[in-house]
Amino acid sequence: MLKRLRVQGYQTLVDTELLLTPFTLLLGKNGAGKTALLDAIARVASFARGGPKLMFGPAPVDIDLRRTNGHGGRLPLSFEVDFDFGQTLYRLRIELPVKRGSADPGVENVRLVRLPANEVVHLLPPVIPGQPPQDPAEYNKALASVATARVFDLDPRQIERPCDEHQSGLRRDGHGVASFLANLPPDRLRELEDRFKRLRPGTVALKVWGGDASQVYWGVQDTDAGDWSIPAPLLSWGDRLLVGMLCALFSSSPGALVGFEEADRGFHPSRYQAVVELLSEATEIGVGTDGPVQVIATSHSPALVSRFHDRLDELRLVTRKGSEGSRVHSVADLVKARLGVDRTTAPIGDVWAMDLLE
Amino acid sequence: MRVLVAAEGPVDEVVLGMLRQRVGAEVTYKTFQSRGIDQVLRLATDVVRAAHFGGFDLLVIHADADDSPPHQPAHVEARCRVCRLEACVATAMPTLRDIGRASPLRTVVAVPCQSTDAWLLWGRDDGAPTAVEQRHRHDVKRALFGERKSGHEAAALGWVGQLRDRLDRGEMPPEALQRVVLAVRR
Repeated sequence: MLKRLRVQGYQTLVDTELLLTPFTLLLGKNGAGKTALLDAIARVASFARGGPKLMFGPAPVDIDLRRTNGHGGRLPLSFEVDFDFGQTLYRLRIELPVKRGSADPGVENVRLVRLPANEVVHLLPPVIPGQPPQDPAEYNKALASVATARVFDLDPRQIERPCDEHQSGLRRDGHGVASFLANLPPDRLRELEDRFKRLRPGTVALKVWGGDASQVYWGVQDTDAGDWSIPAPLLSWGDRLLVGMLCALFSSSPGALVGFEEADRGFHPSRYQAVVELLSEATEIGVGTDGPVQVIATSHSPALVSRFHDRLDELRLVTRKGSEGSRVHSVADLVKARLGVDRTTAPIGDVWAMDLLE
Repeated sequence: MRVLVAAEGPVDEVVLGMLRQRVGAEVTYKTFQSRGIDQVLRLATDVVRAAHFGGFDLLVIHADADDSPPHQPAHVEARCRVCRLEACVATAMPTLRDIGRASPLRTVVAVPCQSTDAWLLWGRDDGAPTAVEQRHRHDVKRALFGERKSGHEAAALGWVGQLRDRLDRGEMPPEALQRVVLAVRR
């Protein structure tokens, strides 16, 4: 599980620290830095999967655009995550050079240590040139656990799209749902379908068709449409997003972090409770996985945030004033400090929306 | 003096902003994000807490009276918004932990008239001060904004200048407006 993220010099993140719980919900105004935090997690996971080139893509443009411009130039860029793997707590630190416009963003320094004693597992560059990393096997195993983290910014127009049957994986925007469903073993597809039926009453079955050298499509058969399957593009945004969210959870590994940009997006408020239940269950026993996952999500909806009225320790408020970097606050601490109580009288979403915590 | 004003909407904020200039205090606004007295009542306790722990000297909770009965100093009326809000404040105040403030938080519950927009109408139209506050709120809104559903805040900003001009000329303002100014000054 990821315990802590600290980022320097990336978008709005200037020496910004986020403490994570099994379920973390980020609140904050537009531009506060919620997306930057999710993005930073995704970048670290990409680094763990494929090094600096995968972290920032092949072109130099991406990294240059995303660096924070501080006074007198660009700030040094670094990402630091604390995570546990097995019984060990690790800290991974990745520093990128300040140079800009390079075709290869490069990595100046990578350091993996065991906490709390800071025993070095891996150091790049090594202290003595040519010296191999201290423990490549442990380094690779530990990084593999970070590599499973994925962040989704689900888009119904991508979720609905047909795709090649052999497309590998579900993309960040949800493209690939059709091939994911087509390739799920029958028992797992039934499980996902059962989940969907509970969340969308009237559903008879999730359907996948096409394939064999043509594209695969998906849709829903429901009680109103008889034998006809409603193709994905004709489903509501909320229904498409729900399938995308389920596929994201089902495609995750136990213990992985799964991030959702705007978890309330496209859903009617009457569905918020079900969405919160679904994500909570994923963090407690797993949804479509053999064990629990870690979830981080953002929301702008007071109604959804109010579902966390008795779970304040899972809420984080991201703020940013003027040209300062983003700051992340524990909502439980803010309620104590700003209102002098452990629980607000009004629903926490309303208190947050009225800005009483800032 | 630091004042926290909790109001129902952007037009109210514009009018109350004009009051700030007249009283000369440092004012912070918090807006109830959903309209209606139920939302104001629901959040009143937390607003009182935010004002106390935020170190504000004065809290003004402002709401429109709409169709509720007018407040009378001695009455306790279940539908009266002032009575209901004052009850919320009175319940919250004794629960506030001492944080070493120089003076206790003072509060003003301002439910001055059916609709605060009436003051803008008085500023714009030179009408009699009392009559304008007694007009039905829908009537006031129609007179100000017609059928327009947008641009209320921008329009209010314009009319606030006229309202200020009338007050600066020493004209007797509508009664409820006068009461609010006096309450805040006190």
